[in-house]
Amino acid sequence: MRGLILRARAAIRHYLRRTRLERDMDDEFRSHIQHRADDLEQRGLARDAAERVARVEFGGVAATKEAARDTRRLRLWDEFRANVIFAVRGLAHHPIQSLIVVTTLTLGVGICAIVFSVVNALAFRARVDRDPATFTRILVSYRTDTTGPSFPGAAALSDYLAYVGTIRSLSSITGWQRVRLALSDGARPTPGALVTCGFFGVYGPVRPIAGRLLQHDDCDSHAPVVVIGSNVWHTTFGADTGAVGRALLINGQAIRIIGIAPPFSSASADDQLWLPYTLRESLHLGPNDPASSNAMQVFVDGRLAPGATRGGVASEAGVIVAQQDRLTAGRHTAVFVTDGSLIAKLGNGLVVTGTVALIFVALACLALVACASVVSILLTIADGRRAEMALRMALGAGAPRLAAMLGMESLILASVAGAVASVLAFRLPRVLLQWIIQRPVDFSLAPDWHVFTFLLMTTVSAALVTANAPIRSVLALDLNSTLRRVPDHVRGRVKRGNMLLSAEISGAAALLVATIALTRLPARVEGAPPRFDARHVLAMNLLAPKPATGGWQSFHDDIARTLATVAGVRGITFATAEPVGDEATGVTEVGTADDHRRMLPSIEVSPSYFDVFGIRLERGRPFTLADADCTAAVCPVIISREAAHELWGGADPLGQRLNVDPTHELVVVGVVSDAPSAIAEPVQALMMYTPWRPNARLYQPFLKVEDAGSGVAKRVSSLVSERFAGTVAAPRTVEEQLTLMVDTFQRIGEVVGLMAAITAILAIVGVYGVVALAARRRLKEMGIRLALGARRMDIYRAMVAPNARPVVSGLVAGAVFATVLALESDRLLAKVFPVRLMDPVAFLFAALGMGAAVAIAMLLPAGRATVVDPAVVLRVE
Amino acid sequence: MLSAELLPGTIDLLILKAASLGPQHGYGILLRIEQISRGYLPIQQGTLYPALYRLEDRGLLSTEWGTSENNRRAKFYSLTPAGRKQLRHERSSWEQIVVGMTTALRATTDSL
Repeated sequence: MRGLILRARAAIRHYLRRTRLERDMDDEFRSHIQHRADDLEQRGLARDAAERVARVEFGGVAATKEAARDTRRLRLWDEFRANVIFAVRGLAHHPIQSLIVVTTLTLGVGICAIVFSVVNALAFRARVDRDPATFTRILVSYRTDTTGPSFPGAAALSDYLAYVGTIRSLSSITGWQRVRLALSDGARPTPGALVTCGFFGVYGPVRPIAGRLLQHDDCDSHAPVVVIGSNVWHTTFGADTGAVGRALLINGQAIRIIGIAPPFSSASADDQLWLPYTLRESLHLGPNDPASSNAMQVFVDGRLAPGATRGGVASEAGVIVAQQDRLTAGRHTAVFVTDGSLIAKLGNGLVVTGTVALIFVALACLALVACASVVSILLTIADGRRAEMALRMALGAGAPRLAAMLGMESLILASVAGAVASVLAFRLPRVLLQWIIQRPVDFSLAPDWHVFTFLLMTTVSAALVTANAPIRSVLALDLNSTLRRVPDHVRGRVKRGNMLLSAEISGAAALLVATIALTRLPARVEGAPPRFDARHVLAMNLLAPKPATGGWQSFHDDIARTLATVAGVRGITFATAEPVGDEATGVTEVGTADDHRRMLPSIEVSPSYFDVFGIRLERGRPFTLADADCTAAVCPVIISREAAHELWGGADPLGQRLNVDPTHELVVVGVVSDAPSAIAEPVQALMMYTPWRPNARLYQPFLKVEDAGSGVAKRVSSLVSERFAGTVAAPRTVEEQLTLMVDTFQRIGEVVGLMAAITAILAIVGVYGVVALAARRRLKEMGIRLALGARRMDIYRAMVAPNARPVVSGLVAGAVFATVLALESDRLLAKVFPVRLMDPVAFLFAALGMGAAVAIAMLLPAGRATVVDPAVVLRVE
Repeated sequence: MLSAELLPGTIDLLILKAASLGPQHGYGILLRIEQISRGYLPIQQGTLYPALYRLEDRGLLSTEWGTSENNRRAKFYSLTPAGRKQLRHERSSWEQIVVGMTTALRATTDSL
């Protein structure tokens, strides 16, 4: 290894000191010959004769120098330099084509790098600004002797406290719980977190804008302090650093602001308030006592100690929770340790891996189209240089040398594209993501070695792929016929051209389908009214502290009584969510009689839910007051028609049992119409409604109103603030909530659609290139046809017919590819994406658009062939 | 004088040995090899320099321009510590080959 390094260093040194090296060689060889001549002269030869003999004995100086250059690897440098000069000259001769190639490759490689950069930041690494490699998350799954294991997630506070100071594999550790808090200054609930006071040590370093961050004393002393985020600082305090030290009313309690945190990467990116976890009780969020049945649950994150591994953390945590299990009768805990990335999040495997796989398929499609376009342009350039290449071959240039010369062109083009793409990968992901989510991105998107490896591989692959075809076309030249300007056998090239054409058209067609489908997505969502009354239902978005007396049941009763008095309110219901899949919708795992288990979206609802939303009861009965707070072994459930079909096919769903766990079952008492919009069905039409438990938690009120625009929202909001201390409401119609969701999809659609559209245009340019190349190669043939009396129509037919087959096969392949992609996307994204991508209209328009573009691309060059002068063409060719 | 060509790699060993006897310019190394091999191992003058440059690039020889005994400007080659180590290693290997080859070639039917 050392020898290799020394020789590489010497090779570079020789190249840099080339002139001196050559001079030294001349001096040294001259000195050698003179010394030999001195010897010969001493032996009696005359000086002239001695020098002549010495020169003969030495041999050819030029040959010796050449051998020395080979030894010192200078010839490689020379060839490299010559290849670069050849490539630069060649590219300078075709500036427009070179520019198109660089632009195409830049877009291809750049878009791939940008998307990969975002995917990498979102899925493959923890959301931390510092050293993601040491970030560690401990998840736990609890089960008891009577209940099955819970989904791996937050740990009981008592378990977290047992970890602290015991796990040696972690240098720092924190626990946190997301909460939504009511601020005195605004009606909207503000996301925040109750954190242990080492939180900023694990997620930091964070340098506060003003004041300080939480310290361990703050948690120990139950100090009423808060660190606010920059958004709250700007919106509530107008970015005044005097905010530090002032009191902020949070959930009705005066909490002193001790610091302002800048945006930083963390697991809960929206959070704006960080409070010591020991304030939980005083903020009416639950008891502080870790032994309480309603004790706090925290996500546990930490940093690996030097030399420690996540396996070591898992072992230590496993021992600790086993000790904890012995203190809690019947509890059994399993520990899962991850690196905190989205892809490592348990349960995410299939969805995230599938989504990433789909994205990579789309990127491969894009790269294929970009490379195919570039190849067609490079082939055109190579075609124009056939005579030059044949001459070089005739003069002795070997195939490796010619391949290196042509490969250098592709390497230079790909390197320029790669360099520009790396700049784009640095700058654009944040801009794009900010535009999509319409707020600053507060986690790191900085490219890491994954991105640079991806960029390097993409660039090198692009260079290899694009170099291959021109090199093969030149190496396959028939020297004799090329130099005599006789067209050689073209079958191989035609076949290659057809394959290129098919590949480009199929890739472009698939992307066009995606472009049209994504562009139409928002209009489809808006254009298809939901099958429930979204316009006349107000979601209250209520945030309330836990009632000190009377419990949630009386709170719900009071709210219902109060809101019923507001003019324009026609009905009220309570539920965990509106009947569309969003963050608030729960998921319940149920099993049917045949032991088939599956996850179903579920909402807990009060009896009037279906009336308020206007969801039609198709069979059975609605919920009654008696169904609430069901504690029996068998509880009632109402399911959507699609869910009934999914679970039991055509069989009667009424009376069917759904097994939740070994001790609880649900019996179907009713079937309602599918609530969500037509586009989302059947995926989002799956829904399971269970009776609410009014005393267990806060349920969101939904109001049926006559006219949402009559100021009723403002009236109910004011009334809630007046009558219920510490309670805030942000009423919005369900339609408005859906529109907010659609806006985000619109922006995603626009970004992805734009990228797809760019690629589709590149593909069309490539198709034009391929067809134009074919037309150019057949000019002589067309000249002969015209000379023999062919009509213009015959020429058009002759030019277009050979391309018809690859065009049709490309369109069919593209349609098949797009169908598979859309179906697979819908299947994988069913849980996270509320609308389906499969859109027949997109297929129709993509086929028409692509067909028209290809027709123009074929007819334009064909048109030129019809007006050639046979005499000129035959003479030139 | 041997008419056969040198075995591959032996020219490097001979150059290292010649340079180990003191700094020498290219022609001097050629003469010294002839001298220490008593003329049995002639080296083509043109093949000497690629070998010298190769050993220099590997860090086994260092070079310095100076004045020769003939009062001519010449480039002198000296053995570096790495070169000395390499020479020891190659000499040991060579001696093993010689012993092995000699033993093999002296073998008779009686010794089998």
